[in-house]
Amino acid sequence: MDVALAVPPVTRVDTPPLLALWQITVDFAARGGGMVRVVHGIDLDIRPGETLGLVGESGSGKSVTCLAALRLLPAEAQIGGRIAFDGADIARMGAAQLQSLRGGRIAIVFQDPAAALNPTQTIGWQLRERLVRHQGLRGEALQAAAIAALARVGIADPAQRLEDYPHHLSGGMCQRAMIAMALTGKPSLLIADEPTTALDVTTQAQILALLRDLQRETGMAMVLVSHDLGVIAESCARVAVMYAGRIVEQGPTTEIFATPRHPYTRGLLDSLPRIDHVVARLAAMPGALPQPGRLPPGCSFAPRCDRARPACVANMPRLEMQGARALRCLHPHDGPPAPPGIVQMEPGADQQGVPMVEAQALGLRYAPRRLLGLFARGAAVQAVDGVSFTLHRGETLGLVGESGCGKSTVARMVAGLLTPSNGALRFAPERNAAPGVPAPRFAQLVFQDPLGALDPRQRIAAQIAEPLEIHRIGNAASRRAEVLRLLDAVGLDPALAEAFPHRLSGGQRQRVVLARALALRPPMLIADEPFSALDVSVQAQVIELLAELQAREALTLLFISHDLRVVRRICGRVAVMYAGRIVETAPAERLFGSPQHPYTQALLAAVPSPDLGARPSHQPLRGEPPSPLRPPPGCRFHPRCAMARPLCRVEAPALRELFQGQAVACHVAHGDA
Amino acid sequence: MNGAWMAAKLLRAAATLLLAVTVVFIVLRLAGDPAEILFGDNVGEESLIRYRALWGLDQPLGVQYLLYLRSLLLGDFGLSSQSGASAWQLMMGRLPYTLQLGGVSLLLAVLIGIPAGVAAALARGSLTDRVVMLAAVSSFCIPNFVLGVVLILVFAEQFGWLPSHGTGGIWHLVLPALTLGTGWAGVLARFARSAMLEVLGQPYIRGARASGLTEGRVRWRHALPNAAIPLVTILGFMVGGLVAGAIVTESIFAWPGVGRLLVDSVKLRDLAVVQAIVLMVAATMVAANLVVDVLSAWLNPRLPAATGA
Ligand code: SF4
Ligand code: SF4
Repeated sequence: MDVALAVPPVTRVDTPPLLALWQITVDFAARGGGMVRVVHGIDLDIRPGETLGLVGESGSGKSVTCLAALRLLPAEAQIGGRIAFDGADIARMGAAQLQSLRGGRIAIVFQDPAAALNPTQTIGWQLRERLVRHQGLRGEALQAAAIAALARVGIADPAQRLEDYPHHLSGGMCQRAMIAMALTGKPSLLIADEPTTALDVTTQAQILALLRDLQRETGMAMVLVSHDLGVIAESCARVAVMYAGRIVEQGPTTEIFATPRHPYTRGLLDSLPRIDHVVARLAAMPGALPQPGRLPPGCSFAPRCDRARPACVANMPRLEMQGARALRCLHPHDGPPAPPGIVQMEPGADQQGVPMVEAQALGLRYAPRRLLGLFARGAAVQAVDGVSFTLHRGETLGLVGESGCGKSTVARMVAGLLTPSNGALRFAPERNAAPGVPAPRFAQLVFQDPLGALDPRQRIAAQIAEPLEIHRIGNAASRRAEVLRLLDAVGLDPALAEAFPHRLSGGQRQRVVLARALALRPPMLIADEPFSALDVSVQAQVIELLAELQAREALTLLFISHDLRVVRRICGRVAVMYAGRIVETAPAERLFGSPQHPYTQALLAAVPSPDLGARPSHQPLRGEPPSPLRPPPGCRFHPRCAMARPLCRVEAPALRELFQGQAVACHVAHGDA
Repeated sequence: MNGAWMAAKLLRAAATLLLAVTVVFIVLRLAGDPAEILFGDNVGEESLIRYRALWGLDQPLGVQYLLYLRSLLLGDFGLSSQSGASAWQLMMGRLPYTLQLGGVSLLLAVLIGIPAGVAAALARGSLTDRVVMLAAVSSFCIPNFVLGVVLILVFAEQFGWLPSHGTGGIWHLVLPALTLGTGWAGVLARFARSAMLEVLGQPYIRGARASGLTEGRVRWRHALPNAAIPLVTILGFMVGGLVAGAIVTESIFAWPGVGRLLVDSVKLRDLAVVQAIVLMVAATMVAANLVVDVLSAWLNPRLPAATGA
């Protein structure tokens, strides 16, 4: 077992910690009886005013640790160890004391802000309730304070927004409202538990900037929990890396990111695709996080560690102090990591090649919903408007943009699941089905949510063989052989053929979905956010798999994603969508190297980078994408564009080619970069 | 709430009602010639023809349907073949009794079932929880006729504390209301418990706790109103099924309500009265549904009706 070691602070050694966790353990009741330990003795100090990043993949225990600190876990959970806040023992507090601490001196904001707000009460009601609780305000002062609180977190029209229900607001707005509520108690510590995970990248940048500003203004300390190393690097002075319920490495962010010593920390950094260059091959760690209660003996990371030695399996290494850093490893790395092998991304196929898909001025309009066919409710929604592109054989085209920009709608139209209301789709002759009809042997669609895509009551082999059966390909024996070949192709153990989906991890399920999509040997794959549910280390494995399959089978790939880093790794060409239109398209090298459209530039700038020195200096893009119900006239980006001119408000810019292969829809961009 | 939504709901309710009326009309005509049913073999062919002409039964079916609709709109549900009185008035004479019994039973069920279910949810896994759930399950497993008979045997026959049948003072209401209300209370307790547990597991409840709100506020101002949304739907079903649900109980306790009138009229093949009651039940269900929709929209701002769009 670990020895309790208080970690020395990075700054102000003399100041006593604001929040100190000693040997925190958390046990949950296991399904089959007994207890399962999910947090194995965490020691953490947070000093006044500092920002600590807690990073780890899902299931590493980072959120549970935070909830345990405020005793917000369900009653079944058993918490061990000591939690001291400003000298007071939280574990021994009575209900009243604990309640005035929560939301008072310690505030917390959660992931998925829309779900963390009561859906049946207005924002104003919920905000006023907190103001009454923590500031004892009444009457006009209360209303004025509520308006001021929303204004302070950058919500426009605060008096109006007070009357809104949470479902009227976007995710970013809800998170701002949550932050406003958290600030009502004038906290000296704010715990932000994955505060931007459910948000779009430009909104994420806004929220992170807001949190930094508020912190500067109030001097509060902050614990930022995130799975995203980029987010941590940009916001935190100190970082603790968690793995399987333990801290494995801790120290100043600059040092940890410059010379990660723990193999897991290094693996995490290497797994993350970068936006500024393409690594020849993401160094994916094998395997996945172990299940709580099924930890391997000794070092929990040993089964995935390329430096493991027999001693690692014998005993769990201790968290040892080295100056300002702490490390739990017997054979750590020394020195900075080797520079990655950077490659040039090929556009994939020659542009003169055979077109697989040609989209011309594609549009999709949803008619307004009607009640009993009589009353039109709302306006027609133009989800996609005038989208044109050509996808050549063997090419990988990334379609990127924030949620609601229409990228998934385009994917569905190409797959034949939706019929365009305007424009035309032309396909290579081998797709011998009418446009608007799915042609599974021509293109397969791979979705997000691998769990939802698989039937929980069917064995893996049966699910992979299903398309073959539907199309009456081969006999039982040849299908069986094909299933084994596919399992091998996606890197799954053939023994899993007879397993049911619930036995598989998220990454394995996504591999099964890929295998099934490839069963009919389609020349083309349409992947809609296929990795967004996966952890970084697992995501890296599946990205590499997809890249490899694409190259080996010469697949044509239409790749839809909100994650520009992933698109950078996989795609030869990229099209950026905003509010239903393509605003820029270019070969990946060009688009990431020298973006021309103001929106593309803002989007790239908003992607958090784990590279030191890449701390954000820019102002995040203001505002939010327009509602598809009421897109602004002219250039749809103009209300948010720093370069907008009067012309932009009236005339929609057409896509013009500025460089070879780089086309931009902007009145102002000249391509002189 | 917005006008178009309300208008659409009213239209749908009217359409449902029309459908019910049409079905009743068809069933009545399928049952045979009303003149023959009424008079049987006792009268001559000539009187039958005269009777048919008088009531328009010799007209084409479409015309008959329109005539039928017109008479319903005028409040004319026909005459009882037994007493010759207006079927409508016969039914309306009994309705207050059913409303009295049903209303008291429902009130009892709400006042006992919902607090019990909520208490069980708040003390999940405790002894209270298990006792409440055991009581709830047994209460709706016991059929009303068994419970009614047992209550009569114990409180009327054995101890003679309460009257076993008929109407009179408030004491006459106790046993039938208990009989009818117990099962409903059990159902409500189960639903209240699961609705409350579901809401208590939502992230916004954790969010409310995390902002230091007192446990009382979290429970009563955040959890309960959200848990009430599904309960309103269940209550609507109960109100809609009130007459049908009361049949057995009214028969056991000789309670002069609509349920018993229905049973008697079916026995006597008094079609006009049966038809009036069936249409009334249909109308109650439609009305209850409408009220549920309006109440849900009021409780749940996420429903389309509540948004002004
Ligand atoms: S202790 Fe051994 S197995 Fe664990 S991380 Fe270090 S080198 Fe790898
Ligand atoms: S057209 Fe105008 S508003 Fe649109 S992106 Fe270009 S400069 Fe900005």
